Amino acid sequence: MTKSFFAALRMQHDPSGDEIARAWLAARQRGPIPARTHAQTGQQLKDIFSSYVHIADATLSMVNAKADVPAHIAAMLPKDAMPTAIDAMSDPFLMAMDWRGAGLDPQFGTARAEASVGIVRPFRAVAETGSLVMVSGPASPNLINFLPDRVIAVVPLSRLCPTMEDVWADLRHDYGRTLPRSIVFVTGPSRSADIEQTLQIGAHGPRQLHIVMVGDATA
Amino acid sequence: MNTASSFHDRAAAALENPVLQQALGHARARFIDKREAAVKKLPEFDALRDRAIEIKDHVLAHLPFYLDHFARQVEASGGQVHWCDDADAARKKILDICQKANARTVAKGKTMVGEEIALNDFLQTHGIRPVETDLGEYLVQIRKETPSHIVAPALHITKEQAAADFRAHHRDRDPSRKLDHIADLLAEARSVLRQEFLQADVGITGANLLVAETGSTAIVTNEGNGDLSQSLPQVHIVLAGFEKLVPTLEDAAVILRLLARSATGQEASVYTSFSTGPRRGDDVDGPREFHVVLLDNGRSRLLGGEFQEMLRCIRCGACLNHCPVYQAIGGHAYGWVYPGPMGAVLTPTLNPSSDAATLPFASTLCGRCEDVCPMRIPLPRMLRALRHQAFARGLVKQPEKLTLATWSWVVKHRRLYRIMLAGMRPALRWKLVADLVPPLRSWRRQRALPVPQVKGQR
Repeated sequence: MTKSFFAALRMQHDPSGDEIARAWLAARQRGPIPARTHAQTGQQLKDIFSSYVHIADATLSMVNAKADVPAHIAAMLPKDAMPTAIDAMSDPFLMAMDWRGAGLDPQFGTARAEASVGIVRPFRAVAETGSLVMVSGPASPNLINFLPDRVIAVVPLSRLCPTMEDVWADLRHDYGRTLPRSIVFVTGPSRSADIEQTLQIGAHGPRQLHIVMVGDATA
Repeated sequence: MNTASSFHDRAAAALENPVLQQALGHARARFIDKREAAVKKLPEFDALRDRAIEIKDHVLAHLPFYLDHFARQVEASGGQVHWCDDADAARKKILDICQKANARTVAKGKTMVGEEIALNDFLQTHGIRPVETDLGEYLVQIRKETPSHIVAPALHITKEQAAADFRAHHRDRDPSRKLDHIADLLAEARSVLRQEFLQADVGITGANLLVAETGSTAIVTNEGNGDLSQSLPQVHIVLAGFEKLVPTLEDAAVILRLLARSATGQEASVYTSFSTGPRRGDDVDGPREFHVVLLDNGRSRLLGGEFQEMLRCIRCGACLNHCPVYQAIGGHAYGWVYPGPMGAVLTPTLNPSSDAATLPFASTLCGRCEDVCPMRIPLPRMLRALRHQAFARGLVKQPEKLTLATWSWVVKHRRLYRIMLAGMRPALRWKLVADLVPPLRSWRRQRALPVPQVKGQR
């Protein structure tokens, strides 16, 4: 091996084997998919998601109609300061909701450094692990998933999919060849077990994660 | 690398350290039991292992193609790749990027490669302040130590020690505050480090995966510090060994299913985060620059040889957690960033000129490491091969050679072996005799010395 491994490797590159690698890339073959993600109905998929959300120490509630979301969230928040300040993604789905009518004072955009409540809308939810998929973009900043003390995610039921592989297929469909800057699979509130291997919820990210699933929304 | 003392001395000191022994006790149950439960819950675990091995072996067989493809994709998404053959090149490249950004403070996510190249000391001597943001790494940094475990860097520290460190280090806080509970410590770290994140000019993270298809890098964390490190500062630098490459996002999914379960027994880590390039034109947050520093630093020496399978390692730490030697002495005794069985292979192979050649003798070859390795790396076979190398290079001392040669001769002669065992029995039954022989006495301090059965020995 010459002194500069990378230079030598790239110079000595024999392209005869490239076809095999190209075929691998093109095939995008899925590995073994856990049987536990195979759901016959939407309700089954929701049940799988729900069980893993709880394992991940997050909480989940269900509302039937999109219009009920603001009041449903307002009921979870402390009433000491009215209207209650919330930071929310400037996502059209969230912006269309009547937050003020529910006694909330939303600031749309990214989260302030001292934010206490952040409202987010995931790209997808993944049943296999109870995860939310947060994808960065003009209307979905990444930091709002991390800075607030408490994150509340609003997910239309139609956005629930079985596995990470389904998310990749949807991302390729929506974004083409170049992925967005940031794709984060969030599974529960932040935590650390770095001291004495004792799990403690609430590290640098949110201390609480709540998921509101919306039955009727197709967005 | 710690060259001030020998492995033997460090291991002996570790065994006599009651605080360390208490800390190590916390780890056994957590890591071993949780991993076992998580693996049992996933019937596809072994099939995933087989596929993961296939993926990694394929990448290593087509390494030039995938490195090239990865680099092109990083550039296509607006990032830059820096090829660094050794630690010195990587340190200088990172310093150069930091200096161009006029950086004063760097927020660091947990990176073992950063430890491997001793990045913090280097940045510090050049006037840049690195701040570790993972709780374990932060504790290790303020104590001026090194990590003792690749997943749980502060495994060797008790909460009482952590509280004392916080009191000594966070001098602007109320001295009468309570730090009795782990929750108090975590809350204090959160508020101290939140300010650091907001001030940092550059964020440096490692990578658990590099995805050739998209030019993405991925990290797997629980605290959220890695994400704040890579999203708040204006510059994001990813530091990774080239062996982290996988072809596609589907391949990444296979390895991720193995990684969290093998490392901490979680179904999934809290944050599995993929970064692709810098922020886009209309994004409202994210770094403006994205750099990937790809490191060789000796890894290429393993290609095509009997240690190539070591490049499949995903740094889950399962082999450390299940190793009776690691369990007894912890990570520092190994002298470098990578401890346990994977470290006993990596340290001497990545640093062939070092005094680490005897590390492979710190193993009972019980085989648990290979059993639990999600990538089925034949660690015991490699440790034996390294022992042969050390023996051939004359690194094994004369008395040990003589003992081994005698032993090897005796066990090959069945009658002689039985006579020897029969002769040992009364002496071993009468423990006082064993205690008169210095090597047996030190053996008995940490272990039982059972009386051997003569019958049934073949």
